[in-house]
Amino acid sequence: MISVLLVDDDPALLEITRIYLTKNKEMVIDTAQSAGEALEKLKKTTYEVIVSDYDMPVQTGIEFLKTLRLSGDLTPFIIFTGKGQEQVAMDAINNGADFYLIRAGDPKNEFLALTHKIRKAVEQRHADLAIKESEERLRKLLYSLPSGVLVIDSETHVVLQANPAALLMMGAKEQDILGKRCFGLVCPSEERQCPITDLGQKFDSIERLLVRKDGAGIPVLKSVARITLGKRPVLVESFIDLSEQKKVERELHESREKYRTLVEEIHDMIWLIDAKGMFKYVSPRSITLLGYHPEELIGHSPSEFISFEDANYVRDIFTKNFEEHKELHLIETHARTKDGRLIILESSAIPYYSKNGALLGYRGVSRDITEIKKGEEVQALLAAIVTSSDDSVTSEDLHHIITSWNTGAERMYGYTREEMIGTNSHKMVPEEEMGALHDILQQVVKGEHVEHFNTFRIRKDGKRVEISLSLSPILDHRGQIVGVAKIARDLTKQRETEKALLAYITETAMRLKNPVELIGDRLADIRDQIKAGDVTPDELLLQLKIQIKNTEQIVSNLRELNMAISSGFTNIPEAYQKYLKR
Amino acid sequence: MGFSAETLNENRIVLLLADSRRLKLTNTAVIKELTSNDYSVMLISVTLPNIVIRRTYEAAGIDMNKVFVVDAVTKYSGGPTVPDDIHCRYISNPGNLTDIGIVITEGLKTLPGDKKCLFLDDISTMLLYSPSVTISKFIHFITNKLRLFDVAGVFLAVERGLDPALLTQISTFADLVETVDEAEGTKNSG
Repeated sequence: MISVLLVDDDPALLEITRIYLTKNKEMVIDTAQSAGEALEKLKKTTYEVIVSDYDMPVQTGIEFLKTLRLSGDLTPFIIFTGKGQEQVAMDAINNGADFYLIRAGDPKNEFLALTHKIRKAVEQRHADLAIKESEERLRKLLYSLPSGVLVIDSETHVVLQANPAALLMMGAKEQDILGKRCFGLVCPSEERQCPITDLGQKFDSIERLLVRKDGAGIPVLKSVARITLGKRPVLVESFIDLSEQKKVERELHESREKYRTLVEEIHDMIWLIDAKGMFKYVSPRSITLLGYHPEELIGHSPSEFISFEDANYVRDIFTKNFEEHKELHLIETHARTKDGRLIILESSAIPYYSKNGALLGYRGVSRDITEIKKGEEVQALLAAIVTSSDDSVTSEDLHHIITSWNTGAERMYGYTREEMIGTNSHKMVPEEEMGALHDILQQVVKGEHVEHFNTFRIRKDGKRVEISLSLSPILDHRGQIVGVAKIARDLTKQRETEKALLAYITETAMRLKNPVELIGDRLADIRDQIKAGDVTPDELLLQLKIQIKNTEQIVSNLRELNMAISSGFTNIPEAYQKYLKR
Repeated sequence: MGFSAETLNENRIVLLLADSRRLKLTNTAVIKELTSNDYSVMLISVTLPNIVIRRTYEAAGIDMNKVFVVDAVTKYSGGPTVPDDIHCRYISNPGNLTDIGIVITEGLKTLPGDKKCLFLDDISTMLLYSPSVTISKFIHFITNKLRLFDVAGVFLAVERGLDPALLTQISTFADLVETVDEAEGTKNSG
């Protein structure tokens, strides 16, 4: 039912019109005899159509129409009047009347025409509202879209509409875009080179550059639709900003590249084995480590490249850990390289799982520790030599803080290893030796060769011990001097030996050489006595006997000294010992 | 001969060093100097037998009544001894320092006169029969005895015949060390 408000100052006409219009029960009619009354009714209710007379007292139908439109009321308005003036009709249309009908003929035809116009006005009103609602929905849709949308006239290439997302992406305001041609503004293409209208290309999710207001291009995923809005052919361009996606892709690529470089360039071999224990991935380091290219290893079991002595051991460990989902930690194995060399690998691995928690295999890393092991063996040998040495073998850093202290040092100085590690070695150096030691250490630190030298140290019990000391620089892996190694030999025994030898030599001189000279002088004196006839035969005999006794004593002394020497020195060869004791 | 008995007035114990070729001459000269200055002398001889000493000293005009000889070589060499000689005691051998020490201790008591002196001839020859350490201890023993009895002492030794350590030790026991110079007699060494 169409609700209609009839306004006419003629009550009879109002009634006739009402009767006629309601005859088909298509319309519901309300009436008002003046514009004022009609406006009062309109405050309380709405009508789908207003049909008004023109010539009414107080307020004409045109004035009534103006009042309505000024108040924003867009209810379809039909002027139905007996006055057929052209000027009135123009005013009516110009002020928003939908139709202008003149009552000047057969009333039946007039009411038929009015009925038709009412229907028509309602339809048009409904259509307008529908369009308006549609436009509103479209606008809301356009404004709520996260992707940018531009509506461009496909003939003039003037931008007609841009949604907020498009403006945001372009860094522009509506006034920067709307009404302007798209070439170089939103699209890098030049005039007459439009990919859509000039070159006939189709854009459907294609990566393109969107030109921003500041001239920068941003990557977008662009689609273009050619449609007609009203009768105007337009291009609807929609685009999604790919900047963030591109950034993520770039970062992902860089990350992958880093990972790839890391895996491929790392000195150790990275590998992946599946649940069957077969290589699934091997990093290229396998070439330098084992002599095999990764593709030669993939699909094979690691045990194929391990020495047979270790193969069973590795298989057992792998099986056990696989069952218990345990990590493989620092497993040492002897691996056979492609050229037949045996190297020592140290491997660690962690299990990896599927999304549903099933164990898929192990990810691991293997490194060649052959040289390290050899170094450890050499180091162990050297350590054993140092430990068992009678000499004091110690080391200290450049601040003279002791870093190692062998048993020889413990014996020589009386300090235990625990007492000395971490302490300053200078506490054992007598004050008068400090200057010389400082100079020598300076030479060592400069890398200059230093001959071993004799010096003194103070033992824990306060006694001085004379030592022969040699100093050598300690180098780190870069060849930098980081400390000093000291080897000291206790000279006490040597000094005692020297002292004993000196005593023996002196004693020998006093008890052998000097007496021989004395005997010679006494014999000379006896000769002089004989020459002078100043001696009796008995005296002569006695004096000669004395010198013989003296000579015998010299021989006895010599034997005694020989015995002392041969007994006092254990390193005299047996043949010589026998000779000396003879 | 430069050694003077007056030296002993201030320096009671003197170490006299002489060339080995001049030992006998130095020996005789010192005894003569001592006896001439009224010293009674106890001679410890490890070089000459008593019989040769007596003849040599008498030839040099030494009053043998002032000389008491401790002869450490005659018996050792199988020479003849005079049993009741009041001026001589015989020791079995030059290395028998115990007996020599006993004789010295006894002899110092009985040595006549106020001026007494012990003469040891010579340390270098004693080293033939005893180690230097023993000799050093023996000299130390004698010097203590001499100082106890206020008896002077002259110890003769071969110049350069003692090792530096022994010479230093004996020098510390003596009040004076003199070297007998062939041309100038003696000179003070300190």
